[in-house]
Amino acid sequence: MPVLTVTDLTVHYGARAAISTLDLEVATGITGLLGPNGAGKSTLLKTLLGFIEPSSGSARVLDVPVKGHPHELRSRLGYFPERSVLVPELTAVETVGLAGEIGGLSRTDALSRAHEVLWFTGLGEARYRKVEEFSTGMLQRTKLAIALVHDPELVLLDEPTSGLDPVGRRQMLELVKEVGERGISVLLSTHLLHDVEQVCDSVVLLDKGKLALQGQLDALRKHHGWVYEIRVREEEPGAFARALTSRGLAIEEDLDGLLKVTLESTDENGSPWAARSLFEIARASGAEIRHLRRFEKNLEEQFLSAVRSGEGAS
Amino acid sequence: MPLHDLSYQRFDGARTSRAERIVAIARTTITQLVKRRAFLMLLSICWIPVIVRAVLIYVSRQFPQVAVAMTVDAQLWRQFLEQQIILLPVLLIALYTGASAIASDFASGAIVIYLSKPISRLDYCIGKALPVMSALLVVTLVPAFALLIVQLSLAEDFALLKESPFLPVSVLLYSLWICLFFTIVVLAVSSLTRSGRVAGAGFFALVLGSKMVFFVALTQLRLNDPPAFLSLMDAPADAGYLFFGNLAGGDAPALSMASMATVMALAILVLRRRLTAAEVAS
Repeated sequence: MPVLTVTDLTVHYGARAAISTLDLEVATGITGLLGPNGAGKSTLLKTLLGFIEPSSGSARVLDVPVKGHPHELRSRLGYFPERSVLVPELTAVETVGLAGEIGGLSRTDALSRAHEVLWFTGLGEARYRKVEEFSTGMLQRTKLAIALVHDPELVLLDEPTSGLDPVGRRQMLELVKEVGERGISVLLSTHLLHDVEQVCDSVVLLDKGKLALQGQLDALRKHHGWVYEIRVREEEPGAFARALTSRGLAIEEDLDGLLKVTLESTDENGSPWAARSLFEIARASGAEIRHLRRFEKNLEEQFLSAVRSGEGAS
Repeated sequence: MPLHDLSYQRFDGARTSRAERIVAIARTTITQLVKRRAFLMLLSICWIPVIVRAVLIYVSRQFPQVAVAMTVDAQLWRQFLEQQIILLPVLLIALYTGASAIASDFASGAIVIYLSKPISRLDYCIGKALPVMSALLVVTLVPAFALLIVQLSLAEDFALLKESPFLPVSVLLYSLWICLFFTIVVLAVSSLTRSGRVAGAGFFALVLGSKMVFFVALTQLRLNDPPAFLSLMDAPADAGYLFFGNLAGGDAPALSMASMATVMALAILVLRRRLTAAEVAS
């Protein structure tokens, strides 16, 4: 059963569409929600929590329609907001205990759970200190405890590693991984590919409110071809680029005239691409290759390509 | 270090009702309030008029010749509650307990903790209103009933209750009405800002300023006294005449009630809009 199904979802902030006709299905496990700033990640999370009313379309979380069932939904969801949250004058235990009580636990259970999840997130004895005295890392751990205290089935994490040092980041990702291993599904919203690669089973890439790419991380990590960085000297400017484009190759050119050519594993005839082909194309178009560097088309390149193709389409 | 497993544990215990969640919000705020010495001191100061009234009741009973100057009847309780408004205890308690109730949640981000859990905006407001309301009742309803008990214990008979059988109900309803009014208004003002101090200043300016602005405006229109229903401070005092069945005594008690109801409706709209905006911004 998918934990999340979004159908033709559009969300507007005034006249601007933050999410536009989004169709999405997310399975159980840890899913990374990637995208550049303004891609619509946080808007999607807020829509799933019922904070924002969609302009059109629908969403179901844990098989519960988002519209009209906020209480049922929020009792089964945990939310880790991007911004800082604390209740002034309360200690971490009291804050998380309060969150547990509001989440539907009895006072005794909430306090007991607060201690458990704060130990789990690594706050130890610091849980007896007031939250307003906490460092960024401790605040992030407290927020994770608040999201987990009522034992949700799905946790929405909005930039959980934001503001953390490398050690804190690694520890936070380990916690997220452990939560996933305990059978809680996680939707990890971030703009850091590295975080997703560390812990996620699958990934969803949003760009400008639209789905740019989605898949299992293992499948996306497989070899998908090469990227060649080329600089040429040519008699007729742009002839080489035009020749490449005419063969259906994806190219990018920076202001400095450096070309980036993406070669899939096989060419249009199903034959393996080789660098030699590029030299042949260059010769045919009267260009001379002066610089050539090859690197594997990794996950980052795939995401960048997906975002760029989105830009091209728009 | 606890001896049990420190890894993440699932929870399969029972879940509570919405009412219990609201109580949790209210209890947290009340616990924080009673820990503050300043709040306890303010409460004590607000009880000074109560003690004065109790002494007066005692004197009027012990020395009947003074009783001419002080008539102990149902209107005494209306006057007492009116005095609690005019002499500021109600305003000060509303200010202290309510001005930062929502504003500080906006400033600290705590609003997200509440709204992302299975409670509605209404539940949150009720949870925030209960501590304010309770504190206000401590300086209105509780002392009013305390005075009633003092009077009844000093009197030789139950003449007062025979004469005004609805007095306890009037005290109860009037106290609840004025407390509800100031609670909703102060929470609405609190939701308009992220600073408790600004909210407090705004609340005071709104309540006292409404009186001054209308007084100035109406004296310009050559009216001797501005109508009570136009002032957020005088309207609650004026409405008391309606609750204590003395319609002729007030300025325009029914209008004052209507004016208060309108202000409360506007305040609820403000709260609704501000909390919806908070959800979007969280």
